[in-house]
Amino acid sequence: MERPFGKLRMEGNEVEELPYLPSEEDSSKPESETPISDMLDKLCPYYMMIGVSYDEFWHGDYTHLKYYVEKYKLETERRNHELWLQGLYNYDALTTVISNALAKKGATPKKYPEKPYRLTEKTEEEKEEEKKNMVENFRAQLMALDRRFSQKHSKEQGG
Amino acid sequence: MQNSNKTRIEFDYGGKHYKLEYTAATLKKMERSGVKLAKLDDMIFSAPEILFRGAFYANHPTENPATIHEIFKALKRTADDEEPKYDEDGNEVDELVTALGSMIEEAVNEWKGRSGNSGWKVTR
Repeated sequence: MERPFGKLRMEGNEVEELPYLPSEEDSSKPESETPISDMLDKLCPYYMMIGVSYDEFWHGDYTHLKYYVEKYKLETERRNHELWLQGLYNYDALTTVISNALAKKGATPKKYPEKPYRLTEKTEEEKEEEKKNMVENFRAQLMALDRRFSQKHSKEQGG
Repeated sequence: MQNSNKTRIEFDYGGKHYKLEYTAATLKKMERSGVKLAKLDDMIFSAPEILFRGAFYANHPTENPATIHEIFKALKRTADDEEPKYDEDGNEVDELVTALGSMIEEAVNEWKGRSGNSGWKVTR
């Protein structure tokens, strides 16, 4: 029997299926002889878990159920992504502390990211702003270099 | 606006509009009253009127059983007046009863998460 919720729970490296309808091996009766009401009684709590109301399950349009299943899959995917991101921040925090603790004297300390990681794509304005900042920074660096060069040159001429 | 692919049977009878469909609650009610839906194929041949009556529970729960019987006979008669249709094995196909069977099958497939919707709608 196909199971709508798929594999969900991680334990170690193994993925386990959430308990669902008893498989045909678990049941003494073959699928074709199992009363539909038994199947519905078992399915109801699982559909409620993914957000279907009791009334909608028993009295509503069953063709809407697949959207709840899709929504649940997306939510699980999102939650998984959030946990992964949290792991990444924890990794950053840990490596910052450890590398600073073990760093040689005078070494530039490693910093924890000042801003959260960006999760959405940059807008056109932001891209334009970033380009402008890059050009300005480059210009400032050139000017500083030029200043240093002029100072050094005038010192050499004066001395 | 109704946004659904659910198969229903709609018709007018005696100046009233009927919309027949199954829900989880109505199928459970049918089984509680002794209908063996797990043996749907047998039911279609042995007791099609019981399946028809069950399709009234969702939207017309108080409909008089005598009226339902009358409607069933009338719909069957209408179907009988039309050119008979046969399946691959040469058996005569009863469109009304086939539609009821398909509606139950469709519902079970949807609950089990299978894409079992036939995408058609029976309207009389």
